Amino acid sequence: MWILAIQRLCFEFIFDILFFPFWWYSAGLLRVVIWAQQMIARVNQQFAPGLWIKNLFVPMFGQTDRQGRLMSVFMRFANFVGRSIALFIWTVLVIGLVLLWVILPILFVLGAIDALTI
Amino acid sequence: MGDIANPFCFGSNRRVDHLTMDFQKNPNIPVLPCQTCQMTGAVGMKGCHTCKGYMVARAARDNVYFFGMALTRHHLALQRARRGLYVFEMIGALIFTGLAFLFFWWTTRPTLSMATAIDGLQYSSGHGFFSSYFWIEVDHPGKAFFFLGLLGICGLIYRYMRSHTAPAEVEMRPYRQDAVKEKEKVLGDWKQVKNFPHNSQIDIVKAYTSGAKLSIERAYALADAQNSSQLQAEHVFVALLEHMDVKGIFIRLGIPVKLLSAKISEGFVAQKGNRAPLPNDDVIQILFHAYEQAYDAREPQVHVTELLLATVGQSSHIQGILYDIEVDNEKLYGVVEWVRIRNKLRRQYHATLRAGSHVSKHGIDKAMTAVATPFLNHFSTDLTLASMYGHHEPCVARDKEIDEIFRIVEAGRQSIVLVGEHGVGKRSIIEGIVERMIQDVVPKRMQDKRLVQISTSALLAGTTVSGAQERLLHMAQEIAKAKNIILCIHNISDLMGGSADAPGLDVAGTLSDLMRSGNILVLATSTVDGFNKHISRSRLASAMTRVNIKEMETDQAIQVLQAKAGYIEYTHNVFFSYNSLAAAVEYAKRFFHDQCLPQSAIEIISEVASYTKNTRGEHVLVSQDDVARVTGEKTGIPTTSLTENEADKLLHLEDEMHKRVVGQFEAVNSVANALRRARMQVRSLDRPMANFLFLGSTGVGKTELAKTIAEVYFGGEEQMIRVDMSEYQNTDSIYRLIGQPGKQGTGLLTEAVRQKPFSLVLLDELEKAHPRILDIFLQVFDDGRLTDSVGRVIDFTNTIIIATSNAGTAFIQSAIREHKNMEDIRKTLFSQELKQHFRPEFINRFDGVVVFKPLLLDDIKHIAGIMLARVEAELDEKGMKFRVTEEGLSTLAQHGYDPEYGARPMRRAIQDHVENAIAEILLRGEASRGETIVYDGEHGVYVE
Repeated sequence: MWILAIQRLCFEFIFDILFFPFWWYSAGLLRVVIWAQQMIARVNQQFAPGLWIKNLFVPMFGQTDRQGRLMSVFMRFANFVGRSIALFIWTVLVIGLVLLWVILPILFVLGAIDALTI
Repeated sequence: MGDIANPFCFGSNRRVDHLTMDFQKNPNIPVLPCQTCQMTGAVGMKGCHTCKGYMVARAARDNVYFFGMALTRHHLALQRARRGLYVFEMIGALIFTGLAFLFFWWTTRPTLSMATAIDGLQYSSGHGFFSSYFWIEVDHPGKAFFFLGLLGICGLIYRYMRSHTAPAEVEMRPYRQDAVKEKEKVLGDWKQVKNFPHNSQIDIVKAYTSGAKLSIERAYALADAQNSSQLQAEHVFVALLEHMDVKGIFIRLGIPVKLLSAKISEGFVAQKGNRAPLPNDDVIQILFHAYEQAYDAREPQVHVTELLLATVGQSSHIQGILYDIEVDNEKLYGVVEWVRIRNKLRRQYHATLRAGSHVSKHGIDKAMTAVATPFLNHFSTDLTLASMYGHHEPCVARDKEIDEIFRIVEAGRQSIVLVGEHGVGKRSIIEGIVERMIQDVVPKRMQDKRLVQISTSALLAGTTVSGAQERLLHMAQEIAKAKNIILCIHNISDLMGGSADAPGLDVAGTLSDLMRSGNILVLATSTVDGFNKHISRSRLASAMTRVNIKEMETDQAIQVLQAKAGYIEYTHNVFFSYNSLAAAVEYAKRFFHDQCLPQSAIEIISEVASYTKNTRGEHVLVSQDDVARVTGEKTGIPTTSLTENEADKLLHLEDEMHKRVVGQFEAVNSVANALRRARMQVRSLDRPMANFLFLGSTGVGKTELAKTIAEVYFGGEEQMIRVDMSEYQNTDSIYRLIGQPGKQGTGLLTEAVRQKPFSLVLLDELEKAHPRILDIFLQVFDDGRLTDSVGRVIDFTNTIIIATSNAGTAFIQSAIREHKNMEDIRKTLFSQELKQHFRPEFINRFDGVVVFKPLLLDDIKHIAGIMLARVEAELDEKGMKFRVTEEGLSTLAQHGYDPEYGARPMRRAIQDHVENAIAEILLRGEASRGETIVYDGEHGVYVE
């Protein structure tokens, strides 16, 4: 039985090595994408640019006079833009990380091949 | 709002069919085992074609469930080896990466130095490893090692992520369908299984935690080591005992794990041969029942706790052993619930902290439409902020009430008042609401708001009623403007009841106007008394919806203690057993009526923790006896386990009582039996321990017997509350018994029993009281409770009530003289004599009506002996001895015997014939230390 188990283990060991690239671009990539989604959603919840644009014409801090309303629209728009940019940068960073996940192993392999084929 | 309560659902929503003492056998789950592969998943070297590796399956809830882990020697050995392989691969990848970078450095070292030099000349940037020239211009095969090293890091990530996959989740049991029990479906063959859609085929082992899977592996290894042909429930149980969580459970139950393991292992019989064990039917049932346990409890995974419950539920043998060591179904489920509550609280705490990071710390909503409230902030506390920083304690077992509050808010009512007694957990409910507000699982009207509690003392400080009203109006303006504030007012009745010229405040009108304006949502609390007095008839009542907060049930209170025990354990460095918590709740319910559950029980366990630390040191398990001892000290009620001495004393209670009471065997026996029943708790707990009516002429020992009981059982005559009923001859005197209306502590009886709940109540000369007065005792005798003039319920369940009466004395004496049978005397007494004084329903309420017989000459002689023993003791203190001859006793008996007055003349006889003479002897100095004074009747008293 032990021989069978060792045989199986050897097979699994080889399978594990061979499965590495397949896993990286299937289950692994899926987990990274889900993680990226969660990270973006969390920061979206934090910055909430949608909430700012939704309340664009709602006066801030209860300032319902004309000046207050006007200033509020500008402030909200500025906030919306600033927060959207921050969210966009964050999204780009996170997507960049996902892309790195995709590209890096290929780059490493190509780099190694390139170094060896002189 | 739907299932808003889901993330907070604690034990209160659990199914309650396990709250019985006896273990219940798991209901049989119809499973389809694969006959082809014998549930091994393989035929020879190949996978099973019949079951496709499902091995055993069941159908339920439109799904088919299977256990995808083959329980065979080969598979489990492979599983163990696989874990080793993972470690090997991790180490291998680490070594590979390290070596690759090392080779890279080793092979490219000279080139790097050269490249750095050239780089300095041509590129003017980079240095060493970061040399641009090296990476762009130089072709060196050593670079391949660097890239291989990076691939090695990818390999490490791959290996780590693959072996750290979170278990799948058990499906969520739908809420509000608790009552629906689904009918089990029976699978006929494997074709039916294959007909299920792929996403309805659930491998339950994927929802097992690694600990639970490891326990099953250990169980198999154990069965294999025993050469057992079957993997049995007992193997699973013993294997579970090795897991830390299960060990913790049995430690909480006060059971040594090693002893339990040894006891279960006794049943294992080592067999010859080398057959690989196969799981028997019980184990298959356990595997599926563990999943069902998790499903029922809405646990996300199948932990060892679920496996434990399923195992115990499946094996009568284990149930028998557990029952023998005093672990029953209720206790086991109670401790498992404790583990679950702790896990859930931990998860919830982290969720709240995480959610709190998105909430403003400055009291502004996300859209910044809110306005700052500086004036309000001055008089209030922001509960949302406090909760975000973890300053609130968890709210447990109050999901029903919180859901009700949310329903009211959703329905559009403006304000809510929680009405309940002190200590029922009104504040805890508010804190539970705050926690849900932070996590945003509240009705829309409450989302993105903050809960602010007004400090009534700050509001009233240094101002008049009109000043406070002005403050309140100012705050209301701020709140209306801010639009993100929910107001919380604890004990709202404190703000009522005053007037312009009286102390206190009356802002009912102001508050109700504010609430009606629709700008403020108020969550208030009030005691029942406060609500009835100040709110129910004010304008506020119509502006607020009342939610009654009832006192918790025992199992809910235990859950609260389980949630709070962690902090108390941490503070005092002791550990609570489950029994200690259950006992705290039980004693709190029985003996501390001034406060409600769970507050009363929380106070007990806090005190017990401190007591245990001081008496037995740190790191010890708080037992039920510790709780009993502290409760006993606080109340004077014996609650500890019976010691051998006490048991012996109780068994010979009659002998002890007869040292003071002569004759009256029926009375003594009745009382002794009642005391034994009370101590061993073989009695109804919602009535007094016993209530007797002693009938008989004066001097026969009625009061003496009551005093003896107080001495023997209650620890002293000072524990006797004596009420002379001749003082209550008119109806107005009832207020002396239960107190003047509205004046606290003025009832002689109620206050005495409140102070001494464990006592003997002697109602002397009962027949002399007004019949209306006697009526209040009907309720005392029946329910063991009496409400005093201020509405407090006084508990009589730990008292013995003895009423004495001379009613029918003349009849008893004449009947005895005529040598009538005692049973006939009793019948006549009941049917004729007693009816003149007491109503039949009153007499019926007594546990026993005992007729004291008139004393005979011999009895009197015996009593004289007892009384003279006191004289002997007094002389002994003076260093002298005292002796009475038989003749002396007979003479005294003749002097002191009067059938009409019982033993009372004897006291006078002893005074006249013995004590007076002794006093004269002592005054004359005729007796000195060491001499004996004798009374022999014929010569009177003399010095021997």
